[in-house]
Amino acid sequence: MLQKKICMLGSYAVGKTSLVRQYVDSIFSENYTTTIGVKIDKKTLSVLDKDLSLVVWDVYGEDSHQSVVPAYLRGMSGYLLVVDPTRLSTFKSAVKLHTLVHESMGAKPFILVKNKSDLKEEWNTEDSDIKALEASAHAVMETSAKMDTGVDAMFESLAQALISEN
Amino acid sequence: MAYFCLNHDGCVDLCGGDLTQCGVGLLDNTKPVDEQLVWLTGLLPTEDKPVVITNTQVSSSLYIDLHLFTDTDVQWVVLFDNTEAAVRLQIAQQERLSNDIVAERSSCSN
Repeated sequence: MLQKKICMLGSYAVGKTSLVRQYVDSIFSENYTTTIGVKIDKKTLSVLDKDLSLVVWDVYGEDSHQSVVPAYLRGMSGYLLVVDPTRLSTFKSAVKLHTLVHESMGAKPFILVKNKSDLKEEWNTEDSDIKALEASAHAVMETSAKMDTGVDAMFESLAQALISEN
Repeated sequence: MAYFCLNHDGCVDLCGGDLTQCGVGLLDNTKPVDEQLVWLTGLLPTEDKPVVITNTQVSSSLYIDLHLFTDTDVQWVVLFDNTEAAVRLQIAQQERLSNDIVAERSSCSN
């Protein structure tokens, strides 16, 4: 079976871990628990008539004290770049991470994920950073790990991009 | 600490140390090791440059540091149990980031 490593990238507290937990375990918690280093999960899915095993690297979030180290990206086939549109600072982090990926390993397919769609009334969507990222993403998707909306579709969309590349 | 070295097919040639403590069960030396240890997917071979990946959470209670390097054409994988330090880091980081979120929300509402 085809097996591909993908990474969850984004600023701290955007919901990367919540999205993975919802996808892999179908659970959600309101409590924020910060990720140290990386947590790795695996899920098998069927896409375009092919079975694909996704090895999901849930990488610690960017913050003012630490940046993502390129070693965590090694061997990655694609990534989910997660932002929290209620926090503008997460857009800048996303741009920085996208640049890091590009400089470390060249262009890789990614989905720009606007999480917390359950808080859409608080979103800020008019930002030039995010518009530029949208243009280069394989797809732009809105998700809510809390309400379990768009989560499966997000992983399936990236899986399709990886299968097509293969 | 645990280690294994791999042959050209990516299968285990030699292993030692406390593999169980580092989250590694019995390894089948007829299959590539990255098919048996999901966290090695995409990482091997390392070729010229060593790779260090810290704080890899391999279970709910175990964090390991991965050191991957080649030495005279032999691929080595060395694992260190880093759980104690990772848990301390988690506690400190949790407090710092929780405070950062509160500060961020306060500055937005002002």
